[in-house]
Amino acid sequence: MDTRGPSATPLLAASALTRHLPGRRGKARAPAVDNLSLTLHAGDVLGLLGLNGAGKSTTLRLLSGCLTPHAGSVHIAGHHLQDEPLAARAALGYLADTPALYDDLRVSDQLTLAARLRRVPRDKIGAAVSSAIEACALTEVARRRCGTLSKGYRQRVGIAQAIVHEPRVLLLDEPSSGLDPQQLDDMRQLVRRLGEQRCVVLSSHLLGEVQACCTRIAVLHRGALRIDRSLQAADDGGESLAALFARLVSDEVSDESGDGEAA
Amino acid sequence: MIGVVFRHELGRLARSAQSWVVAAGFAGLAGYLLLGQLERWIAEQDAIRLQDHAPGLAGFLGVNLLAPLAVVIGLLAPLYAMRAFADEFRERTWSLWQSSPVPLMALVGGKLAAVVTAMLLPIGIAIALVLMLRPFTPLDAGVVASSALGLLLCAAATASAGLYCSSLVRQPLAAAAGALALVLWLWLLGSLGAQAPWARALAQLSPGQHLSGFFQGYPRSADVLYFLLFTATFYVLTVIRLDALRHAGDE
Repeated sequence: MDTRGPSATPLLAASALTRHLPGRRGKARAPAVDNLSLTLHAGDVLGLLGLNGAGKSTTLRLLSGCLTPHAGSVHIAGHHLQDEPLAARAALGYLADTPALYDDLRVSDQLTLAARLRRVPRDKIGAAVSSAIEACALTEVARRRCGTLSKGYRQRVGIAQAIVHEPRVLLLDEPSSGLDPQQLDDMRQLVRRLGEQRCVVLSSHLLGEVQACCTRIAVLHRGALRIDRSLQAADDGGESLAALFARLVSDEVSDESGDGEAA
Repeated sequence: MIGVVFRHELGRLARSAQSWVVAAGFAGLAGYLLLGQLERWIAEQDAIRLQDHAPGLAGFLGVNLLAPLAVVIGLLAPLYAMRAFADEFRERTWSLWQSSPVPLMALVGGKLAAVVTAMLLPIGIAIALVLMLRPFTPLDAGVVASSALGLLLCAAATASAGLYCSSLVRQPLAAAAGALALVLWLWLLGSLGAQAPWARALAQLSPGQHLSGFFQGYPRSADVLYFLLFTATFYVLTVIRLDALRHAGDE
């Protein structure tokens, strides 16, 4: 139950968000994200779960402003993403499914660029970069060029880039991709820590990862939000998360085989 | 914010070997052409002296060296601009710009300013070759200055066209090919027969029709305006194209 009361302004509010896939001429366009609504406050860490192709990355791209919704609206820290895009984007950090890194830049230079782009005051850029490097355990590679890093390190630089300006809303698309078990554990602790003062949305298709670091869970299936509840409530509910996930997978398989037979 | 974009893009161009190779190739070509024109200047001295309003060396080199080099610079600018956006799409770095509080006008303006600044190297080489003769012969500084202005405006216009083509595709070479085709096509408009009114109007769209005044030392404000409008047109088209990417959902 939400105890913040009606006056608390949500950090992230998405209302009836809809985005269609590009359709062929004359054919109906399937929704990639269908009428999705979310409200998150400081302290919420939302795990966006779903099978491959469920619409997780599209949802995060819509929430980050990289994609314009066909219907619905997004507010970031009280700013409408379409009407006040600069103010809204200044309050969010986004890690895309592939970290946006320049191979020829050193890690520290990459983070400095991100800090400048996110309008960190000039006299605070050095401290912000050092803090992000420390938070993501990048000290030993800070002088290395991004193009020479392993996938796990690239992912961590991507996360550092998303948090360098201390955003109030953090969107992480598959942040655990390419991390080894130790790095995975560190990343989960980092997400939990970041979520204490801001809201975090992370996407994953791994139930264990979401259970390890999130306070809320949302299950997406074919673009529609099937479940949005606190992890505590999900654990206490009649159908376990694992069972729900298994049911979604079996629905998917039976639908596909049905399509195949019909064809 | 435009300064952040400008410094970042200029740094990328400076770290790229291609920028330096292109500039070196241009320096070799310009030096070769300069030697040829100097020999011609010496060989045709008697004929030149007999002309009414005989040109000085600066005027001669402006028309016979810098004007042809303007075509080369017009074709080089798209090579400098080809990576500006196409590389961002190909290397998946575009999401950094899309999710940052950077206005598109500042983004495109910063990248355009960086490409034009990088083009100062070949332009500087061309002008320096002419100025090298100053210890040996008097040069008309006004002609040299107006020629430099012409080269700069030509570079800005074609760089702007190059940026637009770069925003359309993911492959830098495809962007360069598209921009070169566009610039060449515009340039060839100037060679249309000037009999029919429509042909004369179309020919006015060619950059070549607006450059000669700069190299003769008499730049016209209409010509300056043409290049500024050319640059602004492709600048606005690039902003519109990048804004449309958010709606289209592809890059």
